[in-house]
Amino acid sequence: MSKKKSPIEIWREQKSKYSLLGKKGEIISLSRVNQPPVSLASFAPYWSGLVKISKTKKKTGQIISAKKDPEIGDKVVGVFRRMTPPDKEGIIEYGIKFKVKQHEKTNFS
Amino acid sequence: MRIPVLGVYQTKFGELWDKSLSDLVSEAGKGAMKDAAVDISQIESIFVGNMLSGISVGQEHLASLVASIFKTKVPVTRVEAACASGGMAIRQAVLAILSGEIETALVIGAEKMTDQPAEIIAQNLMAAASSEEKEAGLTFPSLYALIAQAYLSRFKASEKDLANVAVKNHKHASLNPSSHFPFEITVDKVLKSSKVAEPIKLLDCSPISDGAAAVVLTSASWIKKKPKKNGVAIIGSGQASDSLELSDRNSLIEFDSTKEASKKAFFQAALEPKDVCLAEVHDCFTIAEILAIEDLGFYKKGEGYLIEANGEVRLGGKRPINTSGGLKACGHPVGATGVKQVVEAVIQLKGRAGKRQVKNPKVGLTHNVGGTGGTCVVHLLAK
Repeated sequence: MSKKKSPIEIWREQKSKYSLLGKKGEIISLSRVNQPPVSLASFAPYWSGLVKISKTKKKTGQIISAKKDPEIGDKVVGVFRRMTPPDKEGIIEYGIKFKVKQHEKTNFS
Repeated sequence: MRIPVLGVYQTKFGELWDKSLSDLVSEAGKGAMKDAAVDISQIESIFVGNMLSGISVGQEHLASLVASIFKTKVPVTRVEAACASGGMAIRQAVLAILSGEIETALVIGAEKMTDQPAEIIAQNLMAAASSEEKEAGLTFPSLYALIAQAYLSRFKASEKDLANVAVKNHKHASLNPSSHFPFEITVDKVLKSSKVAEPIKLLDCSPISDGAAAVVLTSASWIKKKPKKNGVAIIGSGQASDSLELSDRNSLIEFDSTKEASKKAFFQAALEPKDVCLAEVHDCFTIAEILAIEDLGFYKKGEGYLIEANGEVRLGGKRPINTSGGLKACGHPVGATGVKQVVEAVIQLKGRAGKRQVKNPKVGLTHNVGGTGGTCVVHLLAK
């Protein structure tokens, strides 16, 4: 069975993970995941993709789109979201997902 | 460089509930030694390629388990590089023989995957990806879906173009009694199969399989004493790495590790891509074969999907790819695949491939990838 994250790991990752909050980006590639990992079964289907967040940096993340299916080229922004379903024990993990926001300008081509 | 291959063996690949990891290792090792007409006393070192024995079988001291199976005290080394474990194990044996430290090596690739439900294994396989990718809710089908989506968008290719790869490999597997799925499928069946992570569908994906494969390798000086055994040899070996995660890559639609590893192997063998008569490439997903035949230098970037449609890489064509059935249809017991690829190349070069025999091949290539291209190992073989 794949390992579950310990509270120590979740705490240690927060600083770097949360730095994506409010970051603007553009979708480079994406896929609708219909068969998720076991731990995220209750969230499926969802979109995951590769997002360009600067001229040189890309990040993988889940993509949220309120109105219609996201597409390559859509502008996104990092938002704070719950990452895992609640469990009987342990920490509820939060992180950053990328929400589609049309009409957002990015300062890189 | 010349590393003669004395003997080869592949177990049946499939859902082998009656066989444990030990049973598979034993069958493959004994089979290869019998084919080589050697016994364990003549083997100076054993290399084992395996990814999941810890997570899935609860055995991390695989080297000692393998020594117990063959009742030997020689050095046994476990090699791990996700799906490139088998190819890397072959390379480590080649390097050990080239160093002069040993003259004969047994290389076994083995994996036991079907004791647990598929969704658990899929989650375990994500140990080959990064934390960021796991957090994004990705599994390997969806990671390769990101690659496929980028390729289809860039070159205006379609899901039907991906399906052609699966159909070809199933045709080849239907002629291979050791394959997991020895039957043909149609493009229509691929396109109607369930959407795992769009555009990747169930029949674009290699299966979860049990299986093992093994080869016996020796040195150029050993073979001088027994020249009749000098048939097929490894004449080039290359390995390269790249970032663990896709977000750190230069490009989504080419594997730098494949380009680097193959460059090294071709240089060592003093050959070029045009010299290769057949190849076993890493088609963990249909898109992966299309990328492979481009990155190995057989075709230009963006031509691969057109080539898969025109019959050139089918049995009977100019350069058959994956005559074993590939990972898609022969099966993909992760640690075994890289060794099985060498077994298939040797069988073809020796003229022992029966109904799937390529006509008079001279040079074969094997291409084994770890994860989404974080590791790549390429070997060239010739008579």
